[in-house]
Amino acid sequence: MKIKKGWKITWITLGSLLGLIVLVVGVALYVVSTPKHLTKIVNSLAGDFINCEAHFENVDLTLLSTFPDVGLEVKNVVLVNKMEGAPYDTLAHIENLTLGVDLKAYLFDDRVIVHQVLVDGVEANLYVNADGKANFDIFPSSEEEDTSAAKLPEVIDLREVSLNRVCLAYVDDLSGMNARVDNLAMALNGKMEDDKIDADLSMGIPRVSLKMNTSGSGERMLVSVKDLSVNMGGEKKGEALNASLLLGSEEINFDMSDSLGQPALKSKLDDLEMALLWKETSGEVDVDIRKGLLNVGGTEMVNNTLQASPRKLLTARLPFAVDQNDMRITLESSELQLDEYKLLLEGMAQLANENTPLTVDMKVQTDGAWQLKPLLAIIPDSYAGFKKGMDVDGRVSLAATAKGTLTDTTMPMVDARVQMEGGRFSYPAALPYTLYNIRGDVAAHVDMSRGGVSGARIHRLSAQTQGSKVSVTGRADNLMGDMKVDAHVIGALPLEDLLPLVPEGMAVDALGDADLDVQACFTMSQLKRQAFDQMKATGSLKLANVDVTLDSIHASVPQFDLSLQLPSTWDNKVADVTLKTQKLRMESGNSINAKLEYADINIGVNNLLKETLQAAWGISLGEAEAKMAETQFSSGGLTCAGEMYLDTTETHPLRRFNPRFHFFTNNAVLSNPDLPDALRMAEFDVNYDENIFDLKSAQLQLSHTDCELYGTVENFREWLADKAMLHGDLNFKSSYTDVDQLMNLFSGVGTDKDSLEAMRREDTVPADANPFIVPKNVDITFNTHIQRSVAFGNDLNDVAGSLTVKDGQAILDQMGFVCKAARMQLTAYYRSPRPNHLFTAIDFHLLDIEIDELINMIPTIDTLVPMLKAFNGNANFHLAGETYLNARYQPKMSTLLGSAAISGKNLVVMDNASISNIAKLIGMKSWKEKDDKIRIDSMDVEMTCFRKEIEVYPFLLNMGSYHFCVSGTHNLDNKCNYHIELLKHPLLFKVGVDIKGSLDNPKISLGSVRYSDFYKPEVKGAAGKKALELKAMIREALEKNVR
Amino acid sequence: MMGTTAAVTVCKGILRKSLLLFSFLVFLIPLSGCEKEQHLNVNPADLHGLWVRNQEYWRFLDNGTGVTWDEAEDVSEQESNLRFEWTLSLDELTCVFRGEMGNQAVPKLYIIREITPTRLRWEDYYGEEYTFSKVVE
Repeated sequence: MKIKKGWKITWITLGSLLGLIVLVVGVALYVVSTPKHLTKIVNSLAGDFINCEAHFENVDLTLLSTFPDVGLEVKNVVLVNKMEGAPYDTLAHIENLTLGVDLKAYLFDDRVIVHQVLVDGVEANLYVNADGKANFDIFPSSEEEDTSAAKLPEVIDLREVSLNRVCLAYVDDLSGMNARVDNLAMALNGKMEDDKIDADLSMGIPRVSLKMNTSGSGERMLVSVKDLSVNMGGEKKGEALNASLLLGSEEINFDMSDSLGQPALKSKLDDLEMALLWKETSGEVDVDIRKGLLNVGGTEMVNNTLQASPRKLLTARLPFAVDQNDMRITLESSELQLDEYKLLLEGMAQLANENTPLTVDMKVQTDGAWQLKPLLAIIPDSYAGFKKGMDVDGRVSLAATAKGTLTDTTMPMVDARVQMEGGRFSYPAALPYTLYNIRGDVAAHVDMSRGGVSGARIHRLSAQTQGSKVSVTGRADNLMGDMKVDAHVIGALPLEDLLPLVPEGMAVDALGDADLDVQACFTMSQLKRQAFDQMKATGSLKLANVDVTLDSIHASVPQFDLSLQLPSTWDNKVADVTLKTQKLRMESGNSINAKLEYADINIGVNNLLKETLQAAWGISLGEAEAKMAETQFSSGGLTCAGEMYLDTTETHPLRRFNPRFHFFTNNAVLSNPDLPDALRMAEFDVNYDENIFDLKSAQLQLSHTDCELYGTVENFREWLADKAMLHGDLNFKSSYTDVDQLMNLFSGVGTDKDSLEAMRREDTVPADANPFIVPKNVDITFNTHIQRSVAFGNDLNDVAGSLTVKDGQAILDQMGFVCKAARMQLTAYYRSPRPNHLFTAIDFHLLDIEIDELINMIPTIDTLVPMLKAFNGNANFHLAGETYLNARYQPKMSTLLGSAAISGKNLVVMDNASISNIAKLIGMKSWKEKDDKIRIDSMDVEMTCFRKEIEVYPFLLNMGSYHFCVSGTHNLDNKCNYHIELLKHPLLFKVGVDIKGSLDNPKISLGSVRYSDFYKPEVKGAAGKKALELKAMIREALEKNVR
Repeated sequence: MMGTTAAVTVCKGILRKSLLLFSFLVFLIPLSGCEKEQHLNVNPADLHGLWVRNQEYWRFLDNGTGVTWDEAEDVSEQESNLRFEWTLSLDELTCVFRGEMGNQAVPKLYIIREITPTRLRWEDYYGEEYTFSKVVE
């Protein structure tokens, strides 16, 4: 107690002493430095320290308000610095300024230690002009250079620093900045002594605004902060630092536009709270933003859904530790959460130093699985266009690591794994049914370093729909470059599931099952270039119990196997497609009915999706039946192998697909209403090579006509393009040919039906007439060898020669054949310029002719040469003629032109009333020989036909001792005007007989003698010479073509 | 008697045949008489041009060729196959038709009996006459 009492007395004594000292000092200061006196001193000395007009209203010393320090109180300081362009002349106005100075240190240590700085009521107008001159540059520059090093005081003991009601306006014409701080309030205290620092700062600003315009461009920046609060506290002892920073604002707005004046970045953050805690070597950053808006380049990044969420917009809890020696920052159990989606982060980042570059080893993963649907709902609207009409859901989780160094050539490697469970996908616009039970497990490795290799592995990706299941496994390499995909797709698809994929409007129904199994390997560049020749794929599609109905077409297949292989095993082809089915049936009412058995189809394709599609195929069918409309085809066996390429610039199927193939069928039957009977093909074997049909063998039968056809047809492509004629050289062998039937069949080929009908109407062709119109644009020669044939009702045997059909003209070239009557040679020409105007010409030679058979074969001969029926025996007959025909093949007599020559020996004259009358008239019973027959030793007849008139040139008949000369005309009206003259006979006179009138009942009378010297060259006259010249002209012209 | 009768019969026969022959020869005298015909000397240029009889046309060109057609049977000049070469010797007109296949020659001889700027009449070898009118083109 004594001790305590002693201490009390001591303290009282010391206090009284101190009070006395203060009182003495105060009185002394008051006496020496009155406010008035001080104010006067300050105002007078101000000009020595500042280069502007200054006014101190009152300067006073105080002890009470700053006790135990002595204080200097200044009231209403006004600084005025006029500057052109400045908004205000007044630089600053400070209502109250108080400085508290350690009196003891000042008095005894001659040091000035400021403990208190109290400022209240400041209005400052800071200005920098365009030249960089500031109105607050008011302190005079030292004339002597200060060479002393900056040195902090050994002790700083700021016990109270406070700023209240501070308003600052700053205008900088040089940088275009305009800033304002309103009612700033700040409290600071701190002490630094030796290596210890202990400080606390608290600041509040109701409003801060900053505006910056870059002169000469549209760049602009606006920042405004509302109710900004900053609280800092910390202590440092040696190297150990413990500190905290709390930053908060009710609202922060940021608006920046680019040089073109377009919005670049705009944001609004509400209720921002940020805390930085630091303790020696570790710390934590916490950020909370309750709400906010962010617009980047005009794109709103926070959509309405995110704005309306009751959760905080962004939360971050980032504990970290720093190893200053290694410049390493380590995140531990960090969290970054946007709305409800939380990412867990941990790892480290080591800053670059002289020896090692920036090194990162970070791990990020979702906090459990994220529900996909609400996640997609917060995607910025401008990026959410893809999900329009799409319904996606599922639970998705992500785990990723980034590990490595960051240099000019290296980037950290990223490994990520995305997993999905219970997914659902519905997108009616593209996929007409919902995929559900989507499961996925995909791992990706991304190496963005130079030369790095990135890849992904699809451990599992599967989905279901109704009865379908599809799953994919595989990998994708080189993700950052030309991605290479190696995938295996397995699926089980009921065909009903494919029906929704059928375009609307197509009436399709399908039943059946399909199993898909495809392994494919390709790069994205290959896919983009459609370079199927560089891709690899094998797969199969097995269809079972397929029953498909398309409109009125119905097809059924018990089993149908399709396999695919890339590259093709065939030369120069990319893909093999093999189709196998044991039985295929297809029908459409009564119009289509097809049945294939044991079908085995191999197809090799090249560039399937390109305009230059190429394909090769091999088709083998055991049996086939097909019916389309009124056309039926059946085959006992069929093979077709070939290849094609697509030319999209062409429209005609054959020029568009350009096939080359070999086709073979046997025991085939083709029936069509255009055919008079079913066409039976015992064998049909043809090669087609772009431009050439090489018909190796066609054994055909149509009605009674049979033939074996072989040869080539060329220029097919040019012919289809109307650039050239179709050329052909075919061999036609037949045991029997109905020429009339074939002519009807091929009439008008090459001219479409409408054109033919138009021609018939224009040419007024009777409906029952069906003239043969020679095909146009073709040049085909048939080398024929026909054992028996019928043509225009005539039987012809051993026909051999060539038939050429050339651009609307038909030419039978020196066709030789044998009929019952003679050896024959025929050259004929036919063209059909109009259906009612058909031109025909013949060059006809009958050698060793039996005259009666000739008349039977060509009854017209009897009309042309009436006396021919009076003879019997063999003769040579030459005939050339031409005429136009009408549509019924009736000659237009006004165009008839012909010539004929007949020569014979040892002919027998038949018993004929006219001959008998002539003989009787001139009493020539002796014509008849012992066998009561009249024989002609020789006969050479030349005749011509011009229109209806037939003219027989004078010819000589030698009958034993009688020589006759015969000439005359008759016309096709049956009128005649003949003259027979007896040149030599046992009697010595000459006599002529005229035969006139009707050929059936001629009037016979004696006539004048005309040809008495006709066959005496030495005496015959001009008329005789002329007649002989004409006869020779006629005969020579006729005989020159005889082979 | 029989021999006499036979001899008479033979004589009668000879006589009858002689008379018949005589009569025949007498009959033939006028038939075989030489009758000089008068021939026109036709200028070929008079023949040039187009002549028509009913719908049957003949065109003679000055290069010695020609063409004939009959429109009654729906044949035009361009379509006609009856093209010929013609020569004229006094009044004897020779037209040689050659078929399109070139292996026939059909000569026709006509004797021009009358030709004026508007009228042409010819006669064939057997006396049939044909009259044409000139077509003004």
